[in-house]
Amino acid sequence: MVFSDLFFIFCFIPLFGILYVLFGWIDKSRIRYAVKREKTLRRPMLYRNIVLTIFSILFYAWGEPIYVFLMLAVVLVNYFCGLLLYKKHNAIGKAWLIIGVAADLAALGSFKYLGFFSGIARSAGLDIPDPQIALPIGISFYIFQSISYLVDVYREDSKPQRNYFDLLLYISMFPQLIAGPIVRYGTVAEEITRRRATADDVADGVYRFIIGLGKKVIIANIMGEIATALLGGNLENMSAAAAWIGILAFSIQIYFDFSGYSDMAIGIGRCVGFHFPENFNHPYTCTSMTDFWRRWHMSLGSFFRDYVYIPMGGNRRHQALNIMTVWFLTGMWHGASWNFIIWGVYFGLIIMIEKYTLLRWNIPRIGLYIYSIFLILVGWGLFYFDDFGRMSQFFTAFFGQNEPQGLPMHVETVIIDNLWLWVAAIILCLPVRKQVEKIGYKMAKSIPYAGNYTVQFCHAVVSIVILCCCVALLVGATNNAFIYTRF
Amino acid sequence: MDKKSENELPEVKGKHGASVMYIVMVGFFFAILTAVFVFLPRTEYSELEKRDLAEFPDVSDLEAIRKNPGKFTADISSWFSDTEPYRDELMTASMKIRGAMKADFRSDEETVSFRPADTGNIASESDNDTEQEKSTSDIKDKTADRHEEASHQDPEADEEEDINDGKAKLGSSGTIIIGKGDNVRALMAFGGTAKGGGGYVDLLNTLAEEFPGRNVYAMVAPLATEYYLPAKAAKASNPQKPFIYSIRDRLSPKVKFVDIYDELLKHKKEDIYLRTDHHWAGLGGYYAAKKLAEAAGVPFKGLDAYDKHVVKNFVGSMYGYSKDISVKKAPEDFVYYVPNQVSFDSEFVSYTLNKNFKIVRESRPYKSAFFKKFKDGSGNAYLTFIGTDQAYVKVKTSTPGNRKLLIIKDSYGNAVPGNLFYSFNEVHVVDFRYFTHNLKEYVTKNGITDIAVCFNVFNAYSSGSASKVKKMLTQKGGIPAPAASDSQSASKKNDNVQSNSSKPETRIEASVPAIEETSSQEPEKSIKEETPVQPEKTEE
Repeated sequence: MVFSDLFFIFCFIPLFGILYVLFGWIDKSRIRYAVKREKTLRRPMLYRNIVLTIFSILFYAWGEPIYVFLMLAVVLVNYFCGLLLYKKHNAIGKAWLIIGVAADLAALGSFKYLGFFSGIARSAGLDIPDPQIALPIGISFYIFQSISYLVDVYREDSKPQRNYFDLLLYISMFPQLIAGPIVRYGTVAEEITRRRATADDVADGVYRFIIGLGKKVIIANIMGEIATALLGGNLENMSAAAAWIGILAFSIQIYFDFSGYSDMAIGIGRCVGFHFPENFNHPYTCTSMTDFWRRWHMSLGSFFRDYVYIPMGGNRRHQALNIMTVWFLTGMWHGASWNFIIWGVYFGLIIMIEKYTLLRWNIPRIGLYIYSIFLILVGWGLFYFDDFGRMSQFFTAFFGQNEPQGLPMHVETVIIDNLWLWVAAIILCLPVRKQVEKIGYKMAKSIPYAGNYTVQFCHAVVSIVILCCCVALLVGATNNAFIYTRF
Repeated sequence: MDKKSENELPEVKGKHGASVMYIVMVGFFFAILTAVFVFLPRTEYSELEKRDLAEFPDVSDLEAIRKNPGKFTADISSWFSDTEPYRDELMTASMKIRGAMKADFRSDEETVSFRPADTGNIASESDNDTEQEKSTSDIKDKTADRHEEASHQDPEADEEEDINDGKAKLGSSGTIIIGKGDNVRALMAFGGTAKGGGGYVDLLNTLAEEFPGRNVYAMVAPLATEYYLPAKAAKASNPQKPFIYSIRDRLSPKVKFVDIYDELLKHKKEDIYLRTDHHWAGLGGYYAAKKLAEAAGVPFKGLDAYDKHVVKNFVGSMYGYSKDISVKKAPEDFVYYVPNQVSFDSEFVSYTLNKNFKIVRESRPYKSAFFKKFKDGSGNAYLTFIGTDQAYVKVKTSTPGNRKLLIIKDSYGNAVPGNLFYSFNEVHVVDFRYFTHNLKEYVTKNGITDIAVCFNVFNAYSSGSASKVKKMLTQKGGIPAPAASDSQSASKKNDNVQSNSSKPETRIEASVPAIEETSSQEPEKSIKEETPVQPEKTEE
């Protein structure tokens, strides 16, 4: 199931919401009872967690009925490994860690990369059949969360989870299950057992969810159509304008698609009392590629930083090797395809070069912006085409090697027919919304007594308008999947 | 956390009041939307897209569910988002939202917008129908997907692949909207080249061989794009002229080529094409018929021998295809001409199709009006001519002589025969997709003297369309019984047998869907089972 699906919005969410609230009452009466008797409940969220877990499994099973069992098994392995390795400062602890992480990686390897490696083996002349395994949705995300669990427990940053179902809840929690953010165990460990969602949390969460839905449905889906129209067809002798506008549309699409998903995940999390980490911070306003990766998919970047880069020695030992490893893995994580690896290595090289050049020089900001946007667009070019023939056709056009064609009609059409969307999308890539909200809040707060009400009233109006637009646009939408659920 | 803070009693007073207000406002609105989406009756047919919407997956087929549970759940999701209440209204709203994103500063002349459908796959002449099916436009995506799956499971389903091919090309290379305001015109892109159409040429040459002593005519109808596409958008569609004339040059001398192209060019300024539909107008069909009559050397009368009828406020299929609101805002007059100095009597035989678009029943011959009457504002007014594609019609006219014409046609051809009643003693109309008899027998039995194959450029280009007609030469009469191996689903299919109602038609070509228009709200009610086409009012 995907968030931007009418079935999710009008069946899954209402049903989940009603049951979650109903079972919340049971929990609350249990708590009242315990308070009366001056006892502490060990599991005050028990019934709500059951509802959440069941709906999470349902959510996953809706699209991947078989692979639910894979997820359950992965959780089981991690559950035992976590218990076994905790507080064992010897080889045994380490062995369990290695076994657990190896099992996670084996699951990821066999379901995500087997086809890729067997393809490489075949091209090397070996007679290995294509295993033809369909990628289980979200496996890249939940495997990484499992690894973070084991490592955090091993490092004693967190206690191991003694209850299988609570660990299952952490791994399978539907808001962030299939496309992140990658929530570290430590971030939510406390909240699994004890959390509260105040009216403020719910209001903020709903608002956040609707903003994310709008990003996805209004901007990303339409930009995706444009990108497909310009980049998806015959690329032979395409115009430079089509290449630039096409990849620009894809850049906007992938940002709003993924950050919209993260917003929705964070929003749903807030509504039930979880605080997931932020995943984006206006990445297209970066001043270098180093900066870009501090703003783009932040939960993945910090995962690699904390679990790969720093353990390998960080900037103290063979930094170049560490950087290249991290970026190779980052590319690899995105998909079992050479273009993703090239894409990762591309960023690794640039970031390494930046360390010795750009970051030490004094360059006017505007130059840095242009530099960054250009490299990002090239990066998305590598990312978009998994077929090298098409990729080279694209870059031939992108770098103006085809004969100039001015602004062809179909490119002009996608610009003019969606002009206000382009304008809005580009503005929203900048931290304008933040600024406007800041000023708006300031003004509203100056209204005596009704400041908060004014703010929330405006939020409600914005939410309802976005919701209406999204529902209308979702009717008849044919291609609505999130890009990052592929990874 | 102390015991009190475990309590989740919301602190609604004070500063949280504003949040509560937000939750109430949005929650109330959301609850209404949810109630509408969940409890109101589902939409079953989309007027706008002219297709039947998804059906709820079959719950009784446990075997299939067990085999592929993911498909079952996915079907439920797509059923839910395909059949929402007020679908067409929401769709219109969605187009309005899209329309609002448009910058409208171009001058009238210049306005051209290109609406790419899918990835711009362009029709290729290919015998491989699955290839074509893949390029199915996104307009039909959902149905087509289900379709493809169905055909994997059902070995008998190749029939439907065949049926698809005309349509697959239609939307695939996109639509082009030109002009502004009331003059908006929606065009379809043509992706073919002069090399295509081998199947059509071969068909015509074969017909000439098979029917010596009878006249055989080739009629290829161009799309409006050829005449109205502005120069600046020329790249969006391939020229059709080279294709049409290359067909002429490849035909054997025994086949008479009817030059519709040139005739329409002369009348370009008149309303020969519908602006909002993918078909030509009655007048376009009239000029095509005129050229045929000339080629056949039979009399042909001017428009003063016809009564002019108008269906006002017509918005045709291109609205649904282009999903462009400007098309809806520019309704046009659907004009057709009914001959008034000749009496004619039409006898229909219609076909009943099952869910998989296979012919399961043939009706007895019955009399019905050749021209159906549609209300103003009806989007199906092109069905004025004959009313359906799933039938063959024999029209007996009061015109003396022994010239008897058989037109094998696609939906473009529907607009032609009504103009030939002054010219032939009998006019037989056979659709290239629906005809279960042996063509040779039919021609001999009815004493046909003239055979015309009237296709639009898409079907002339597609070898699949031609081969279907070729099959008619050898097929034995009668209706193929449902396959026995299929028994499990056969009973189900029979339950779902439909008459000439909208269902199959929508899939078949990008052509017109429903049959007639009793009430635009309930297109399905109109006809059940073997009831022949019975429009509200008929005229003759």
